[in-house]
Amino acid sequence: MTKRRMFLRMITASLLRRRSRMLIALLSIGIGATILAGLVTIYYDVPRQMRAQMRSYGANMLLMPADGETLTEARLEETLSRFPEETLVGAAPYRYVRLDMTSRQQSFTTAGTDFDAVQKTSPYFSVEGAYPAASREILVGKEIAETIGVKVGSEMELTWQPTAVAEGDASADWVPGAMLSGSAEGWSGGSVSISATLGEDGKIAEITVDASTQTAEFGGRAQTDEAFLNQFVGKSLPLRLTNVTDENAGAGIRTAMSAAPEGSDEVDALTGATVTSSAIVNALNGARTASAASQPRTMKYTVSGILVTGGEEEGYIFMALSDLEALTGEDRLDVAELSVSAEEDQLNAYAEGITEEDNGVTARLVKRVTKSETAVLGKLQALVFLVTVVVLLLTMICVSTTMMAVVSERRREIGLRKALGASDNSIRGEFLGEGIFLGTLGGVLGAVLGFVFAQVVSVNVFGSSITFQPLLLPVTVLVSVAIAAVSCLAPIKRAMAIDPALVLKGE
Amino acid sequence: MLFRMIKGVLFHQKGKMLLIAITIALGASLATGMLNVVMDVEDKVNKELKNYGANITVKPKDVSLLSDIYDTGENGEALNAAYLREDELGKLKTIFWAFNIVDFTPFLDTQVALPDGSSAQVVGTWFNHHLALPTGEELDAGVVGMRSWWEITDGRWLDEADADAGNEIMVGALLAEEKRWTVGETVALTGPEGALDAKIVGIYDAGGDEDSQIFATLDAVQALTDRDGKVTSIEVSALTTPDNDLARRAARNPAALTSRDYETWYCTAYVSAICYQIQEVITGSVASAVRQVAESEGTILDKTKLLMILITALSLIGSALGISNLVTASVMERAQEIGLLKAIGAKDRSITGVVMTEILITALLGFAAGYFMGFGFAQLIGRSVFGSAVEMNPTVIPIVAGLIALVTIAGSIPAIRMVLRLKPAEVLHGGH
Amino acid sequence: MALLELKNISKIYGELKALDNVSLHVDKGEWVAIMGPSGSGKSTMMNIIGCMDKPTKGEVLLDGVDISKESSKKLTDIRRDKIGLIFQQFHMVNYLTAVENVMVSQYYHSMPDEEEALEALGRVGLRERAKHLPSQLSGGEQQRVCVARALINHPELILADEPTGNLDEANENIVLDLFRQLHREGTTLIVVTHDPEVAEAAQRTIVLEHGRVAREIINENFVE
Repeated sequence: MTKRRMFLRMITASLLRRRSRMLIALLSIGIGATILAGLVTIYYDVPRQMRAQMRSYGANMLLMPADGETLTEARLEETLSRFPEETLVGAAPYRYVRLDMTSRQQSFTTAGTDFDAVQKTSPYFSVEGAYPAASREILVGKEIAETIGVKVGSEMELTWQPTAVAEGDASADWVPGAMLSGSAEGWSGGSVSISATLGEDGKIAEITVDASTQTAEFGGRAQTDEAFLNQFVGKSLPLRLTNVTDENAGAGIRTAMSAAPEGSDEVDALTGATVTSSAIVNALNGARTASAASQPRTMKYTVSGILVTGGEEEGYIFMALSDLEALTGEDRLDVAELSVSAEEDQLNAYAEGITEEDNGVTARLVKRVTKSETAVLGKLQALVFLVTVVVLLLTMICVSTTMMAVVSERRREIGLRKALGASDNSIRGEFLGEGIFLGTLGGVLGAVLGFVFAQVVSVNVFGSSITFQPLLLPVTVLVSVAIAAVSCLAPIKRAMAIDPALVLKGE
Repeated sequence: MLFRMIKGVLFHQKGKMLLIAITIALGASLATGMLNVVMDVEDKVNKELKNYGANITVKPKDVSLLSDIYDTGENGEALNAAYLREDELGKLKTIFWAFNIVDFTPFLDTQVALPDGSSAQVVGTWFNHHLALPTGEELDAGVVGMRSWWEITDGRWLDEADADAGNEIMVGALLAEEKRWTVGETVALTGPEGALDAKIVGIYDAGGDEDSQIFATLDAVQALTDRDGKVTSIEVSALTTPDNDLARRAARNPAALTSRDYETWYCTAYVSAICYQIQEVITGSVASAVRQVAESEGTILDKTKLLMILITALSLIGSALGISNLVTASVMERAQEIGLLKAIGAKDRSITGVVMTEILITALLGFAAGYFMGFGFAQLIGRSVFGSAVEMNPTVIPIVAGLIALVTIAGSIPAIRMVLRLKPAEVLHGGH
Repeated sequence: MALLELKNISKIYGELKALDNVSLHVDKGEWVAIMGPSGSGKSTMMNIIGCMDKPTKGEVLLDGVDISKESSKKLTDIRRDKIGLIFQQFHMVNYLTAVENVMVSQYYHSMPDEEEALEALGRVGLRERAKHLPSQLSGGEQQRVCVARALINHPELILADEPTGNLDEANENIVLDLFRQLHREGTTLIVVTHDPEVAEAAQRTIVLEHGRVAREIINENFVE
């Protein structure tokens, strides 16, 4: 039999035949390792989990149109694709308009939004009743509800007044992006129709003319003559027709020349096609008036819920973006509120990235939320860190005292082995062998139990699970082995310092 | 005789008993420290959450909606506006939950004309307004505490202690940039009822609407608008208890509660209870919870507390097992001695009595030492994380004492039973 | 030829002179008993001879080598190689079987050899109890295991401290018979005892009193 086999035989005997003591030692190391693995896992997971909780404070980033640009849903979609899916908690688009409640001669700020997204970005919204589910359902702020006395289930008629344009008011604000279409009588009773799009500045951006009813070699040219068509681009409505050769040619021409006041933008008539040109100007001016003064649209809505927030939202009405678009016929957003789960630095980086990309969108952080989140999270993490350190320290001391007690008990055995001629090193080796074995076993046990504990905490506290950190297993085992070894060595050293004779005499 | 035997053990087995005492002390200190932290963590984190700003706003009863909804009149003059009284603000610190009112500040705003012909909104408020209350308490209230997220990009906070504070203003970053104003510049502000040559002392970045506003002292804005002693709203930052079902019912209508529920509700720091009490002291006011802050606070407080409780539970279980382990080990170590006692005719009960008394005395000493150590740990955590002491909760003492006693007894009983089962001769001959 | 020679050794603990100028000469193969009342210095002497303690003054020659000034590490080596110890309380490693306890001694000395260990147990009449744990053995059996353990490495000197102190007469006789056998084989034996019967089994008895050698008795009745 080799020495190594005897060594193993002694350790096995010690572990198996001293079962109760070894169980005590193993249990104590196992507890230590469980606490270590559990707390360290929680410590690393707390910021992530807490950050998700902090999102209950609502949006921490705003996306707005850059100067002179329009924010559309398509653009918003494109910008949002910059965010990794797991960091973007929610993104709620908002479009604000004022709608009239004709029956009470009052008007209210109304926000068009996406309610699914609102529940994510503003989880603190409290709704008496329910969020709108079907179209034509709205949410009414508590202040409004109390003032005008509506309840859940009430019906409200809301009216959209398109921006009123007084006849001849050239400076009236035009809705950017509006589409105009219309027609007017041209040569020999044929109808000339136009369609035009207004740019961001409210000026004509694009125009197409359908003059197919006109004589091809005269009026028909208006459809294709680039020089003629290009002069419309960049002009504001209403227009005056100039460069007319026969001023008394007809009523249509006179109208085209005088419809707009002095100082309005002018276009030159196409030579030889004055009547067609005047029809185009008349159609444009008519379309503008029709659009501007187009009939106010009224729709009936059902109140599905009353919104309570304690903030200014209580003075607003909320409806689905699609409902608002149906009412106003415009596809544009004023702002998008984003709730992003990321550190402040990362948020800053996202915001700068979006703004620099120059996609017509600027991003701003809601400082009140981001700054405070950083401060509070910092404190919480420091708290968990300190608690972890203190608990670990104390637990490790507890583990070593138990190990020490278990080893001290064997003082006499150490004395006997010494009397039998064992060198200090070989005794140390034997005890370390046991310690390492117990440390490894307890460490593995603890790493598994610790993970289970962390999982329980995570599921109970945060309602989400955590991933196992593979690195934690070797670390836990190493620490356990180290503690077991160190706490063995101290009492061994003490036992060995005593004369074997004294130990054997029985104290 | 019992006493003598115990004394003998305590003095002759000093080493072992010391080890047990140390372990129990560690366990006790862990329990004390953690329990104290858990019991105080809600308050501490609550204070940290005050970073998010006010959780209660107070407005005059019949107001705001009108001026919010109709943009009538430049500054609401057209309406018979309602106001709160500035001199009543101190009463906030006299309500039942006065101690939980951390900070508050009044607001009064108006439009002013700027020298370049444009207009801007001026908000009058307290910055670090010194209040001496009738109760003898003194405090500094104002936006310095309630706008902790403001970044002062240039200059400094307006200090109300300055003699010249009334002529000083702070300007939002966006407005300052637009008007190319810098710190130290003097701007002429023309209000509806007065004018002010204001000196810019600071420029702030608030990351919100306030970036295009001007902040001045409440007195200055009252002078500009001739509304002496009046304020339009008050923001209050209060420590609150997370809402439960009772609080939600009460928030809807306190009058509908039974008198018993009402009492419970009134005497708990629910945000609705505090709102109710504020309404009682501020004439003609409506106080409402800012849900964004109040609700989120509740969530975070609950989570933090639960997290700490679970960590505490783990560490308590850990130290309990550690202690009972060691006690078991040390009792078993004394098998020989117990065998001897049996051999000389000691009854099982008296042996158990001796051993338990020794261990309990050791545990008591360990607990006493551990309690103070735990106190130290709690303070260490409180000071280094929250910068303030953790309050010592007297209920911790019986909890920890009971726990230690239970754990010690639970740890010794199986070991003693095991040792008692041994035959004295075996033990004495076993060569232990 | 002297295996062990103590020359004027003294052991002083503070005021107390445990051994006071003691000299002793033990030849190879000799069987010597050391007697004396409690506190006479028996145990101190035994510890010094067993390389577990050093004298304050004087020389200890073991096999011609002075061990009184050696380091404790060196003493461990000497004890392992030359001395077999038997204790009154028959200390055994309580979680190892009888044969394993014997093998521990081999393990520290040279190479564990289970066959040899079993043979040694055979010599003390315990071969069939080799797989028993100490708690399953009677006191006498335990002491016999200790004897087997002491002789397994063929030490030049067997040092026994009250080997029969905890034994009944039957077991005492078994142990003494084992000593006789060892003596016949040429092993040097030093037995510390206060039992005159045990002392009488030896060739020579040294009586200690107050740390001094009071007298020396040659056992006339000693039978080889």
